[in-house]
Amino acid sequence: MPTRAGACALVGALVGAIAGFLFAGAQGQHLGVPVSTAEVIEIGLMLGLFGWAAVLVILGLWLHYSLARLAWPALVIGLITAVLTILVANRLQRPYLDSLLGIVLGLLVGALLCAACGRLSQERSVIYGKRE
Amino acid sequence: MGNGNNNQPPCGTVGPFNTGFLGTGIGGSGMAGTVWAIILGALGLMGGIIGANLSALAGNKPVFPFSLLNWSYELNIFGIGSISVATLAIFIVAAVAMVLIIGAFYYDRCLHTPSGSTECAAGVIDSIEDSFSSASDQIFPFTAMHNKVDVVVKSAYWNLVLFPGVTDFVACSSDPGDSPELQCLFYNPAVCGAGLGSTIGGVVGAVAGVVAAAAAAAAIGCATVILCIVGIIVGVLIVVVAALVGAFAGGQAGKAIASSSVPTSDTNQTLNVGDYVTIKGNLVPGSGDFKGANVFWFATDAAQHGRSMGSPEFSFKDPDQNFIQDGCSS
Repeated sequence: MPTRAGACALVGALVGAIAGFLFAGAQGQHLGVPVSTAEVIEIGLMLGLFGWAAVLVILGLWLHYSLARLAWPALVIGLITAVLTILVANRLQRPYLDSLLGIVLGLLVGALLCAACGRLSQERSVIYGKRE
Repeated sequence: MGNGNNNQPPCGTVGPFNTGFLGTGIGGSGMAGTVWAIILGALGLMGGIIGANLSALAGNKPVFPFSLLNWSYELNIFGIGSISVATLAIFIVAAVAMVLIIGAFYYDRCLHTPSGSTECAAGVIDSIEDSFSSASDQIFPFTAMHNKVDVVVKSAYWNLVLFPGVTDFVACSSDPGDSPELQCLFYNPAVCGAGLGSTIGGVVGAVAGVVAAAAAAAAIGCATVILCIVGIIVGVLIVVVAALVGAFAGGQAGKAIASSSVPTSDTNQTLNVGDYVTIKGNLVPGSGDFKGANVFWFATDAAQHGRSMGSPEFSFKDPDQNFIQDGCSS
């Protein structure tokens, strides 16, 4: 079982890994081509939403974490992580680092946000667990 | 065995103790850590490999043996358009990750038994949850769990509910006395049939998904970074959906072929809520699949000893007062 902060960090790491991985594929095919800040944010939001959906399916539907408690915190963590990952990846122009960068940034963002807000709960639904 | 310890364990979260790597759950017990490890491992490793070779465009030499592949080479897809080898590799990684995740659930449910100890407990059945009872388990049959029987245990067996320093969670009935429960899994062949079917179906779906994804990405093109991202996202979505559709079809077929079962006693009588029971089996401490609670995985023997006159949510006082002679001491 992960700790509360660990669960937040994992959410961030997953979204960051997805964002970095998918961006690496596109970045590598346009290496050296400048991407404007507006486009970076647009790409970050797109990938952040995609990663958030993946987290909801995996954590909420498959591993039976509470969707109601998970959705909003995971969205905030995911969007911030993805935008940060793409911003830094765009600066570095090193596709081979993108997904690892996303994992590290996601771990940090998730753990810090959770520690600051204490909002994300790892409580599962009653399907595979009992009341707290 | 019960030891007559009358210290009632607290309900709910009492840990965490099995928190895995840096508290993330990776390396700890349960599916959460396994799924994360697969996803992060696959994405991190392949992202590095693909990115390293794409960096060849900037003059950096790709790493052997990946230098054998020209990652920026354009593949013509059915005359629709072209995609790079790197893009195709992304779709293949997504397919492999999906199959590994589906297979990991099957492994968790059916191919390994968590380590525990042979124990015996007795009490009254508070609730029964059959496999595939939720919509989620029907749509994603590989996530279904075996039949689960929750037993409010006699106070003599409270020592089996909480192992200090190991157990993260204590399940309890909702009675005013917060009576501790043990969750008992009874093996259901349909769960394993669904798991195997989903894994096979997932492979088939994933392969088809990669082909469809390549076609879609070729149609969208990669003229700009954003367009490339859109094409990759659409392609990955196609792979994921195709794998899940395959897993659904294969899982439903596997479930239908395998014989389903409900929790029964040693005399083949169906267990019911309100039955006084003695349960024997492999008690797994701090199972990550159950919030870190101790669970019987699996309950191998169940004996019925009559029924309670009460109704759920049961108190431990019921079996303590009305179920004196259980099967654990014999």
